Amino acid sequence: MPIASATEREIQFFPTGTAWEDGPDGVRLLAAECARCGQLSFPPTGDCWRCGSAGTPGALPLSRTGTLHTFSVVHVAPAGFRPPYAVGQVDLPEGLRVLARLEVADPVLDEPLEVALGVIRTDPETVSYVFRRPA
Amino acid sequence: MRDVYVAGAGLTPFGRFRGVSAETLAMTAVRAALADAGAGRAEVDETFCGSSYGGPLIGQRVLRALGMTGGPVTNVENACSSGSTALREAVSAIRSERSDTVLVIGVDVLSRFGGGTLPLEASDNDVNHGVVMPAVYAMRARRYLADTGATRAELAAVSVKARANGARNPDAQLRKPVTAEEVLASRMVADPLTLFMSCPTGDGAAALVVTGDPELARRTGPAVRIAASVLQSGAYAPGPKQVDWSELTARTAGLAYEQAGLGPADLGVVEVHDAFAIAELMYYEALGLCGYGDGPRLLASGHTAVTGAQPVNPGGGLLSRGHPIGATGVAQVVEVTRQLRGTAGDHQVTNRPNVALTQCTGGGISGLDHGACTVHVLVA
Repeated sequence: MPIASATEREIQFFPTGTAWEDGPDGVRLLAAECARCGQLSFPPTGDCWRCGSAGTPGALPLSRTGTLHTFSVVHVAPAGFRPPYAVGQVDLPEGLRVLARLEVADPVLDEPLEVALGVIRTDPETVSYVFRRPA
Repeated sequence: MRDVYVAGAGLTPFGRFRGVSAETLAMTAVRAALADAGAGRAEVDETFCGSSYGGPLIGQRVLRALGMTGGPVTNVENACSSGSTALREAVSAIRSERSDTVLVIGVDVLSRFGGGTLPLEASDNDVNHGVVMPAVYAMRARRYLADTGATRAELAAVSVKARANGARNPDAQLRKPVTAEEVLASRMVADPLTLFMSCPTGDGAAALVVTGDPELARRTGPAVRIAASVLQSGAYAPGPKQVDWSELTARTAGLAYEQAGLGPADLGVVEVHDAFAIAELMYYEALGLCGYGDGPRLLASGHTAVTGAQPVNPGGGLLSRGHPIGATGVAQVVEVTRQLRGTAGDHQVTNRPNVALTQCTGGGISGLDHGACTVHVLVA
């Protein structure tokens, strides 16, 4: 599904910051990286969940392709969402498991998926990271 | 540290009751619990009230309606573990000798949200991407089916048992038995979980009179001692963990077994948090009733039936009894108290249990297995 316009609201992470960057080779998710121990988190936890260091200031662009660990197609959805839509957990090589919307017809467990941007909510219209089959 | 007992237990029927307030439901449950205990209102030293959607000061609003005002009241919110957390607070207050007799209430009115999914925390990243509680469990179910070889029919069998048990429980919300075919054919909620594999939303209240007074404990029936009361939270993990194994439940139960000085083989009746059919299978395993992946066989063998060696959810569980969130954890203890005392009526288990366990867990926030898990062990 194409992104409709630049005015669409982007997902904002707690505590602050955006979830992705648009680089030369496409969208990449940005993991928070602890300055003291290097532990990654996505979404950012704030303070490091492993060593307790205050703040996790680093922003590491993650690999674009991961493996689909599990998913579900949601048929009964909250207000603002239009079912059916798929959500899933994608394992990235950096050791992170990302919960995301899937723009995939008939997802298959353990298949490779690639990160992109898509409209995930219609009311209000919201853009976020999604995973699709690699082109 | 002195012993703590359940002296009395009461609850309302669970269902969708248009226009009935949380206060009205909770009052009914409290009166029933006090009567069951043979306790007078003046004997209550303090109150804990568990509710997820009851709003500010729900406990005080209930007690005002009962004319029991002025004492210490604490309101507890811990998602699906709100009621069981309220009980843990009561146990703690009595063990510390701050109070002798404590009233525990659990109540929620969810029918006002209509029939869809419940509103979750709006700032949560998963929620913002369209995750709903059925999807959380559905993702576990999908991996469980793939990795254990379990079938959708084996998921459906959980609901068949739940409804058969609920049919004998006059307080259950859904009392119509169903076949596996009907469960599989019911409307899809979050694949592979269908409507009949999902607990209904509704209204209800439950209450307990909990005491450290040995006379009150025995005033109207055999003493039911709380041998363990444990609360834990989901441990954050940004990377791969086993989605079809409940680390949180296993951890909480382990601490409860240690506190009670017994193990899963000692349990005579069990209440698990079967919000969705997959949950019962996963919780059999996490509680140690069987190994990982053996849940469907345990169920099929009849081991967890009302007539089995270790009955699980004899009153229908969340799937059939219903899940007014704050009430559930308290209702589970009401159920096992009655089972231990032999007063459960038509759905009384036949194995004359002396030891019961209740496991209550739930709430979903990004990165955690579940928000909270509470396990209680009761001994008669």
